[in-house]
Amino acid sequence: MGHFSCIICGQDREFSAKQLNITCTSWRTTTAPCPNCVRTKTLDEHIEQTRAYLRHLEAHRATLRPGANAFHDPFITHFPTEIASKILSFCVDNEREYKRRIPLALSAVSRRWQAIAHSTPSLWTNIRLRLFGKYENRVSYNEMLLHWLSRSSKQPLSIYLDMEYCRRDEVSKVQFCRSVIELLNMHCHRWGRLSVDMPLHLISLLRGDFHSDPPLSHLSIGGEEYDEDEDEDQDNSQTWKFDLGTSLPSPHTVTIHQCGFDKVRINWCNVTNVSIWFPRLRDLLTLLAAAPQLHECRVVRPDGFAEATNTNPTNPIIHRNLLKLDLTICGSRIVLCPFLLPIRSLASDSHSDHRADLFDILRAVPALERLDIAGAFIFNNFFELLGTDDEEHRFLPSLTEFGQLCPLWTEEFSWPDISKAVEARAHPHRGKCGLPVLKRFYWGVTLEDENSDIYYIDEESLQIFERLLSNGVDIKLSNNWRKRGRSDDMIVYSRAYHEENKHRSTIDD
Amino acid sequence: MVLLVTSDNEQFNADKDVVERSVLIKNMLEDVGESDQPIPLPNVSSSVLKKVLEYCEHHRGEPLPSADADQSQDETRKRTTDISEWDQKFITVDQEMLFEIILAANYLDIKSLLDVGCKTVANMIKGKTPEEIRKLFNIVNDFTPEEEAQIKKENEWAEDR
Repeated sequence: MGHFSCIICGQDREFSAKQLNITCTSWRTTTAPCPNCVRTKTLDEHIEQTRAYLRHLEAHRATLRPGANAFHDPFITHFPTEIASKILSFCVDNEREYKRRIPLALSAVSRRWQAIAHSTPSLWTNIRLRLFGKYENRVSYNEMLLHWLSRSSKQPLSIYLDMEYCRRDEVSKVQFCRSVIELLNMHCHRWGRLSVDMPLHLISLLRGDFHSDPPLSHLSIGGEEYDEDEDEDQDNSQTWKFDLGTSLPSPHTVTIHQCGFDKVRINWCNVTNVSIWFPRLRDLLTLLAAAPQLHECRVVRPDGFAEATNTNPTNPIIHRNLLKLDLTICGSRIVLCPFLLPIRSLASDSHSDHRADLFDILRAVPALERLDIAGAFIFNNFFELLGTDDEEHRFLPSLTEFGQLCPLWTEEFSWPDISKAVEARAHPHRGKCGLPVLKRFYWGVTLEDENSDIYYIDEESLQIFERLLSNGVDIKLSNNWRKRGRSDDMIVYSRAYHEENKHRSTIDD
Repeated sequence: MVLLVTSDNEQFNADKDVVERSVLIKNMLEDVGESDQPIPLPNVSSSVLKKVLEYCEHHRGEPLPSADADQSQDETRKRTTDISEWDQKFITVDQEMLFEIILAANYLDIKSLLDVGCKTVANMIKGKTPEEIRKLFNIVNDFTPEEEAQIKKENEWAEDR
């Protein structure tokens, strides 16, 4: 038997090994096993005993390892809990994926880290729920959600709820959604941000039983309308509404996507930022009237603006606080002039058919500082008007930024017109006279034909652009056609072209 | 000038408006009034105090965060781990010194320095898996198999939620 004196616990003991049989050759049954086999048996028993001792040492080691954290882990050796908690709270940044995984990753490092993470509420305030096909595990899903909610303690929550489309008669889906929403409703007094993208007929499930003013500051509602054709009871499909109950939330930022403006029951008094998709004209008018603090509004593809001509174009709506309107226009004829008087920023996305409308709009917005156009064809004399010297009748007199966002398939422009207009508006002299100076000019086109007059910027215009660039004006002129492999910067490739021509003519001479 | 004495008995002379970035020292000076008495800092070693004073010197004159402002900015500060270029360079030290600076900033009550230190450690941790974090600090996984199973369950929930 092997005796070992353990170097860790000091035990002096035998580490027994099971008695091994000697297997010698089959014909040596009556005689003793051969000496080799006897020695092998003895060695094997020693090996077994040594292995038993090794297991004993490994058991010691296993008990020591976790204790090493007391010396290695800075959250134990250095930092008191409040600092460790502060460090962990800095680990959650604005990126969605991180927000979802970081708290769990942090609490999976060690027991100490888990304890700190679980007692750091700010790690758990972002709740992103995607309800897609988990209807069988409702209990366990909700149990996890409850853990998450309880760890966030009393902190305001940011809730992002994304549910797949379902019909009213899909009972299991509806019940599952209901159970999740009911859990969230229990914490309605902590909703700081609420963003839902869900079947709109389920939105009424969101309820709030507030004891004080609801803290909701950001609200985003979007989803899919119930298909009325599939519904036998059509009236029923119209009944949904975002209405939390008795107290009206008073958010400052609201996004309404694909759902009726009139379906959202909130207090609009403190709303400062709105993004709204496909609003009807009357919705927009109601919004302007209901939200006196509104200063930034993004309107995407408004509908029914032809009504504007029949309302009262001589009585413009002036919204004193509205400074920035990003308007994406596409489709039906638009008459917006009466509604855009105080606008400083306009993003337009309309068809060539609307050139005249666009012209009318731009004429009607003298305060406009930023104009971004995507998909719209600039009318022929746009740059001519922009470059005019007549200060009194200056077109877009306040313009400081211009961007053509999508490359145009057009050859209806001339470089001298553009360069002169940009030079006139970006000239430092304007700044000295207290006039707005153009700081940004982006112009993107798709020009395929190298032989066309405008494929290369002419030498004179090029010099103007280069001069303005060196003066700090942000100018980008790009040819989308050249993106693959060659520089699409028209200033760069036009300069190379002219240099090469000069070089050739020198050689020819 | 204010005289500071570190845990290893080194003395540092610094301008009052520099050392007053530390709320602890500011309060001590207010309590003591006009005095030439050295201020003992038993929790700060000379090498760490040297770094702390370098930080305070650079940020001399900048407005100190008030208690209210600090509370209101707390959420915003937590949401961003951006560190200015100078601060980033300043805090590029070995791990032990980094931890000591954090502790000193906490003890001396210099909130902005504490934030810089904590953000730096947070940036080291961010985006890493638990295993990578363990490796970074030489931490041993001390979860029981049952605890591991619960963590796995929670991760599965988070993955597809």
